[in-house]
Amino acid sequence: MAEALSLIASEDDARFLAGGHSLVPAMKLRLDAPGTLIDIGRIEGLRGIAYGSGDENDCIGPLTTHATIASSNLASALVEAAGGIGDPQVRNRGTIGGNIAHADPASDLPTVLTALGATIRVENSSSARNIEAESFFTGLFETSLGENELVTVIAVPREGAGTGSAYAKLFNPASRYAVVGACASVTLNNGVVSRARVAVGGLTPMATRCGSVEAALEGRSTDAINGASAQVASDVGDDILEDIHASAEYRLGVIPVYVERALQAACARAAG
Amino acid sequence: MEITGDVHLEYPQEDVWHALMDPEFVAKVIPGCDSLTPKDEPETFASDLKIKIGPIQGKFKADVVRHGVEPMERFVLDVSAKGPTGFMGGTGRIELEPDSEGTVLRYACTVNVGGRIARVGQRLVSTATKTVINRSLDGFRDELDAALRARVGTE
Amino acid sequence: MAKFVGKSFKRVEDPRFLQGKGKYVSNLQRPGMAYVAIVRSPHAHAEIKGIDASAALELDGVVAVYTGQDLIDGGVGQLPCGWVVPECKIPERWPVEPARARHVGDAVAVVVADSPYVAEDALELIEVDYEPLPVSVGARATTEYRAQQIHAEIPNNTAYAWALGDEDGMRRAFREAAHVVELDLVNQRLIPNAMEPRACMAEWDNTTEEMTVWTTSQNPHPIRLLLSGFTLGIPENKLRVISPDVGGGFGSKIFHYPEEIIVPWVARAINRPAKWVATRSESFMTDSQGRDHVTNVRMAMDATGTITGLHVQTWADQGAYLSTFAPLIPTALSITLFSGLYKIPGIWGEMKGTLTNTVPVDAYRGAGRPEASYLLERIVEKGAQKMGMDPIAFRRHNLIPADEFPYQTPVAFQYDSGNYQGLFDKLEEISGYGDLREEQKSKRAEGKLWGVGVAGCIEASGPAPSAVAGSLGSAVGLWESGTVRVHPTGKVTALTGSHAHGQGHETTFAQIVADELNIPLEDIEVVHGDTGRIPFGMGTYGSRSAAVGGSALVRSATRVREKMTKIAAHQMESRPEDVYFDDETGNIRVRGATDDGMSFFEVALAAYTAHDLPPDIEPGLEETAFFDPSNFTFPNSAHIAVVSIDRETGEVTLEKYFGVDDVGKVINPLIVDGQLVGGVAQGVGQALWEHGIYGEDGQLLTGSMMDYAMPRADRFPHIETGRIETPSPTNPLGVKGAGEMGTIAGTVTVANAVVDALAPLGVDHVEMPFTAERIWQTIQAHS
Repeated sequence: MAEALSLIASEDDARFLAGGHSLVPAMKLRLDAPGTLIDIGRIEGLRGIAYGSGDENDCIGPLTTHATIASSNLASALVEAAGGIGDPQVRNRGTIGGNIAHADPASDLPTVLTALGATIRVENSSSARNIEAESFFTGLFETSLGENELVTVIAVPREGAGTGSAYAKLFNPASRYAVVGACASVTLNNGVVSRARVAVGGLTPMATRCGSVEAALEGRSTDAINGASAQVASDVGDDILEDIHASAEYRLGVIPVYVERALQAACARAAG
Repeated sequence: MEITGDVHLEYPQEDVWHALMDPEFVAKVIPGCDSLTPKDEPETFASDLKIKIGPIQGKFKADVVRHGVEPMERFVLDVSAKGPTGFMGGTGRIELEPDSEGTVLRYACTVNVGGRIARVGQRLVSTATKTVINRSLDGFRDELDAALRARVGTE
Repeated sequence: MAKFVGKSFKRVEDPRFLQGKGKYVSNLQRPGMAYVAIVRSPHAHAEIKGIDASAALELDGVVAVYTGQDLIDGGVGQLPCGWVVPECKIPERWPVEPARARHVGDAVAVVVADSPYVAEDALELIEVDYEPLPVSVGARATTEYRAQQIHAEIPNNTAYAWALGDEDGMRRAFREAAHVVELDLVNQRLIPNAMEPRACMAEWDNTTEEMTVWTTSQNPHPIRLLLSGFTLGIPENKLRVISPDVGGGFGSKIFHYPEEIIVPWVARAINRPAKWVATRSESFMTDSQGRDHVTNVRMAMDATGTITGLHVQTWADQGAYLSTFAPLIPTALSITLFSGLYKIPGIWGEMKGTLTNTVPVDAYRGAGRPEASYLLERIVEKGAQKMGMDPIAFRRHNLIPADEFPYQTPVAFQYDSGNYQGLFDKLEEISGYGDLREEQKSKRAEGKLWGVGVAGCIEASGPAPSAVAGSLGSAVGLWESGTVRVHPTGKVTALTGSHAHGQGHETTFAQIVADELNIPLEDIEVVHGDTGRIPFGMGTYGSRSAAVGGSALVRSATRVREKMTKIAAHQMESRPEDVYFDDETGNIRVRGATDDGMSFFEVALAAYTAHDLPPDIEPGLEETAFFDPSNFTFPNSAHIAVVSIDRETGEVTLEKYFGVDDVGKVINPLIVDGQLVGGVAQGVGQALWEHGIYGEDGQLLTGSMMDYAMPRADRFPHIETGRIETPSPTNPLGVKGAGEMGTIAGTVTVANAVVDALAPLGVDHVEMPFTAERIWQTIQAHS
């Protein structure tokens, strides 16, 4: 890893290559032509899941594939989302680190990591820092990852008793990227939602935390889910993505439905 | 596709106008634009653009033509750019209007893209264009701010 | 006797494909090969004012750059149109356009390099000076007064207008009608996506002046004919065209493409083998596309719901040029099917073939018949709604009775055979139709959107006979050749002019020959796709191979069998009429004799040693037959789809699917089921997902798999198939086409199901594809 981090600083226009499922297609289309590719695919220390115990986070190596996550014991929303990415070939090669560094607005994992309150550890050849997922994603294909930094760990809180999470999306039938996606993580206490974290993606330039939805739900029973979900409109802002698959009007029209479905499923898991 | 919007600038209309008419100034605020070089034809500029939006990176040679100039009030920019990954064309109509605290800048842009970027990037064109416009306006405000502060400082 | 025909056998070609041993054009290598890449217009319409190749020519490894004019000066001809309806105006089309590009992807220059990578690099160094021109898109909009002219010689961008049927009868029917229903429909643009992109390789022999071209074609002989006679000018006897394993075609590999001219032209120009392999992006913007019809349809009924008249007006978008068979699809393969399964006295169909700044449109699986079925079964569905009748009851009321075959329709075709009531009997049985409607009632009571769609479809397959095809505009005959060659050791090579690119001919054709000759399947090798090895043949399209190609093999095998009978009779000192092929032993024996007779091998060897042949028998054991059928065959089907719709999001889920088909006699049920199920998936793809979208500026917005949604297996329920068999009298096997029926029926069946699901909201039509947003908008507009 040290070698990779020193190469990225010294080589001209260098880029890390992980699973190659975002960068390689762009290169094949000749939309991107890095000067140097640094293949980190065989750095074993960056691969695999270390489950925490008690209150410790689960730590995911950035080279962990979507397929591995889809069959893991990580937070259920993450497992669910990873299992719905692309197709089996993509899931077998694509990695979580590559995915979040690419920060496609229609990607599922940024939404899920934001809702789950994940922490992303990034390193360069001389230092390391931790970034909350919520502030890691900064715009359309943009992150707070510095020029020569590499994602080295994705730390995700464990789901204890009374906590559950879920991801619900409408996928583009061609690419299976999210047209809209919603992730919810909730803690239930005697039928009351004591903690709710909600994020949406696919309709915004980056994964977006939904504070209004959370505020409308916290301290209330699950009966408040429907009303709280409708609050999502005030969380997503004006910059709504649109393309030939879905207008902004449609995305805004159905996002409350997916927020509600994610919340309902998360509550059902939290309950039991 | 048409993208419209407006932005309030806390500066007099005259200052905003002069900044907009200054190719060097404008080149500084457009992301990926190194320079706007006047060509032989009047009101025509050449530029090398380097665009990077996520997976799409490309160099474009652009021609910018300014017309419909009504001093202090409005003008139109026609941009046509081409590069190995395709071409882009656009028209931006810009209008200024004074208000009590400065100037309102209104813009209406149409953008069309062709070639590879249209074929594989359709889902990003609208959002990416908005991003470039917003960045340019932010940059414009910052530069204007800096320039006018500097002027106040020297006066 | 029929040990093989009628039984399921796993495909003998599959082990080769599944183990990666298939031989595709892109796998083939020749020594010293150069690679071709093509500069393609990024503009939908532009004048080419100049091409500067100097930077590309300086790149290490670049061999040459050619412009359209270079190719014209080098003798290439225009791409011909092989099906010309009366008064059809055929636009100029060059392999590389010298002066004007008319769709995104149109070839404007050619790069030749030592490696494919250098060739690609060089593409970006070629500076083309384009002067963009206004663009015209939209099948109907392009004919409007203000539309940009695409070809100076073709006014109103209208290449042809064609009509068929009984106009007076139609007008009378509408005058006297008790009920009239009407729909405006769009049958959207589709983009074929065979697993293997197109490819072409060529090798020129400078000493013999012979050219060999390897190409991903469904029909190598017609390609050789066109290359020789029109586009490349190399004599046909010096030109060999080989289509080895081809990874799917669906119609898109029927046509003669520019690259098939460019690559051999380059190979000869540089005296080196040359190859071009399409990228998927190139497939999206150069493979001929499908459908794209805009239609107004009206149907007249009497007071009892009997259909009395049908009037159809369609604008068919043909793209920027007329592809090889483009004018055939909306005309003789579409209007001729407007009678469907029904007795409709007054049918009048009008068709305009129009030109736009888009990729050319030609045959795509179903080719004209899905378009016919779609408009007919949508308007029939609306008729049933109007009459308040159950959709099956309404259809049964109008079906052609089984005792009226052969049935002459008012739109040229004479249907060969069928039992349409029997189709619906079987469909109701396998689908449990009554229960489905009960289930629907209870779902609707719960507020759910749940639809049952019905369609009954006709197909004309195995286009024929040649004389009729000629009178309808075909430049080629539509017969097929078959050769059965028995080698001296008794092994058999069957040569067919049909071409397999996924259909399993190596299995089904072997089954046919094995039964005729009473030999094991594994003793027969089926050979296709090489003009150097097989007699002229017409290839594969229009669900013709079994009916026409299979029949040619039946004929030649029968002749071989007759010759073997004579030889065996002579050698066993018996009369031919007493000699028989014994199923049990595989030997050729004399009736009533106690000995074992002669083995197949012994008779074959005797034919070649020629030591003791009957006086009128020539040595050797090989027969060739050319089969020209007396009519098309008319497969027919009745299908049901069940869909549910998510009221909140508009998502459509296909819940159940049942298809009953009459494809005549079945040679291999496993393969036929595979064809039908695959066909249904392709048809459902059009209904639910697929759409080739062009912007107003002619840019293709669905130019990759990221945006063009192909059907995927995980979105399908089990597709249950049922069959009835009414043998076709027009060929010796009694078969009808099976390759396209699923696609023809699948689209409209799902369309009817979606409309049925939304009917409680007052919806009577929604355009395809039924994307979540489109359905959501429809629900919003109706609640």
